[in-house]
Amino acid sequence: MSLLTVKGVHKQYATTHAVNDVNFSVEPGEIFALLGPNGAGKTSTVRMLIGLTEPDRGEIRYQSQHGERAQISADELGYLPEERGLYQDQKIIDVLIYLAQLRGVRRAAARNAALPWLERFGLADRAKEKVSALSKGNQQKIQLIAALQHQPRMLVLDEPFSGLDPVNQEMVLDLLRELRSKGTTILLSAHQMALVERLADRILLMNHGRRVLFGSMSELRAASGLSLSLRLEYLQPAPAIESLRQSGVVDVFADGEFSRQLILASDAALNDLLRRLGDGPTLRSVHSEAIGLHDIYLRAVGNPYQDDEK
Amino acid sequence: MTQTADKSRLNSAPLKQNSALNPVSLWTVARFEFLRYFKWKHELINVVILIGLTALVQGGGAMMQWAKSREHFEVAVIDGQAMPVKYGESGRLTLLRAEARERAARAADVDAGRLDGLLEISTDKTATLLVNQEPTWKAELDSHLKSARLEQELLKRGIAHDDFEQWQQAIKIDQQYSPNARQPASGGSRAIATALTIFSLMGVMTCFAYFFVSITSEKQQRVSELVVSAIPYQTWIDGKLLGLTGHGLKTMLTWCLYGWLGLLAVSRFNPGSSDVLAAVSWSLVIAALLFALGGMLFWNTVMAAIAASIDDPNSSTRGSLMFLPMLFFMIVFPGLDAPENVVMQVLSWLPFSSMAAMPARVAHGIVPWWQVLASFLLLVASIMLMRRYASRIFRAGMLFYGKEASWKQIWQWARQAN
Repeated sequence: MSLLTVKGVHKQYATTHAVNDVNFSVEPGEIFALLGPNGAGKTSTVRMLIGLTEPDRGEIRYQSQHGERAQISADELGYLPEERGLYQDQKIIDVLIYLAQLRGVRRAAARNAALPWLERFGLADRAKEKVSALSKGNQQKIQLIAALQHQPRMLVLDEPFSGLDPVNQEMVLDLLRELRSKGTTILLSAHQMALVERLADRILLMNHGRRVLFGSMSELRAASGLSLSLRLEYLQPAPAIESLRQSGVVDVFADGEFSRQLILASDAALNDLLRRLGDGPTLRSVHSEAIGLHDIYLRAVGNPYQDDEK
Repeated sequence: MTQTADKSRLNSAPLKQNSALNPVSLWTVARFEFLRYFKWKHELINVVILIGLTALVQGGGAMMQWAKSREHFEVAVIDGQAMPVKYGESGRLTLLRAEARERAARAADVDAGRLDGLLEISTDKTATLLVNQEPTWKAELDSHLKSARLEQELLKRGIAHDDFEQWQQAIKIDQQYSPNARQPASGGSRAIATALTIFSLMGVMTCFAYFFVSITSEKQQRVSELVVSAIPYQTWIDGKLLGLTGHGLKTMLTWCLYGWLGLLAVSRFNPGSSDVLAAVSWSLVIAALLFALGGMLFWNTVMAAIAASIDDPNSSTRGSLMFLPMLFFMIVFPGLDAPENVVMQVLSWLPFSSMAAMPARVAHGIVPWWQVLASFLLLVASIMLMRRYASRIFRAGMLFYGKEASWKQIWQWARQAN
């Protein structure tokens, strides 16, 4: 049984249809990613999921430990909002205890829960400092701790990687995998395609408030009609982009004077294509890899800079 | 994506609404909000600063009195009318008799600073005073001349000075009350009622300041989503109301403590002043405290709504609304000594001002008990009503970023049903 079910949900603001007939479900213990460009409707969806706003139409159902509910209960939910915010003038440990108490944890237990997390994030010795003394990245860690310290069944993370350096992004990646292995269901929205691709079990791609693609990475690849990304390095100046648009080639990108990237359709005949490429300037190397989320994303939502790059 | 102003509309109202209040969450919020601005160290420093300032003011005043008493001025008097001026030293002033022929010599003394003034009495109504700088002793000289003129008039009419003094004594009135009279509280109780009114204004202003800072900073620091994803809006605003009203009470009671300690200190030197405490009507004090608490809660609900509608406290003009309760207090203060007038009666019923006006009426014993009770119940009902509307505005305002809500929007939020 799905932990969360979203059926035909709409959300309209004064000038925007932010969420337009969105359907999906989140299974227990999976990492589910919401993707989309700015204004795609991700945050509006998240806000409805956690009960900050209500849908104009449609239904959201949550399978709580106490039965089916329209809303996730506070103690079962961990939430990292996109709009980061903490009480800047308060001590770090006091803020963490307060936020845990609001989710039903007793004061003493909240302290005991917060300290190991501060230790893990390397902030234990700063527990009694004011939040304002921390860097933006460290405040981000405190927010993450606030979201997960009470061991929620479901963790909703809006842009969990923003503001973190690559080392800390990897740490968060490992942490989320660890939580998944312990049974926590995670729903996240993010822009970092490479990280999402490595982490998410299933992905919902949104654009203009609508569902564009939905499923696992392999399902997304199949649905996108793309298979491979081919990187061509030439010893001489690379041929014009238009000349590379051949049968089976969905898209061509220039990457400097001596390099081109080809996105191939799933039914592309690779032998024929390589033979034709051999007729052109001398190739130094050909590198192929399965199509990534980044390319699927650009293909699905459109790349406003694509024309400039070509 | 931020829920910016252009994207918000009425049907985007938050879902978490007035679900049943959880007392544990309520207490957690109230405790946090109170402790957020309560620091023992700061409180003690404030006490030390206050004692220091009081000592400075008192010490400065005493030094000023001492310095004034050390001053001495000499004025020569040419009296053409033979007024019964008392020559010689009296307080800071010494009057010296002078003849008309000495006029030039004495004037030269004034100009050289050897004399502080030369007074020439021309008629019983006019005189000329020559000085070489502004005379700070002129009030004392006026008093001397007034007495001299009075003595002259009494002599003319053959009236003895003692008789005249006696006629000026007030008639001693023995005031008695009819059996069903509403007797006023003692002078001490009235003084304490007035003090409590002033202290409750300080409490309200304290609450306002904390509400303004608390709510606008939460909006600016984007804490709202984190909190309302965990607890209902109603719990949040109620917790804030309790916690920050606690600050108002703390301010009020702290000043009561200062006042009491001050009175105890004064009574060591002036035994009669301890009667003020002994004659206190505790029922009046309790009534004043209840009205103060109710008034603070009422104004705090108003402030919560106003603060939630502010986007940027640095540019908002709504900060000036903080002075709204002060306005009502300013209207009430002139009526504290005569609280039986019709304006005070009306003000003692209005929830905006009853916290100030009703205790004053009670202290004067002119208000039936049922009016006190009815006014208090009206205040409680107004708090409940304001809480309802304030929480709607708070709910919508706390996630309204990007621009300040218009008064029309605030009105729409307030009307929006839960």
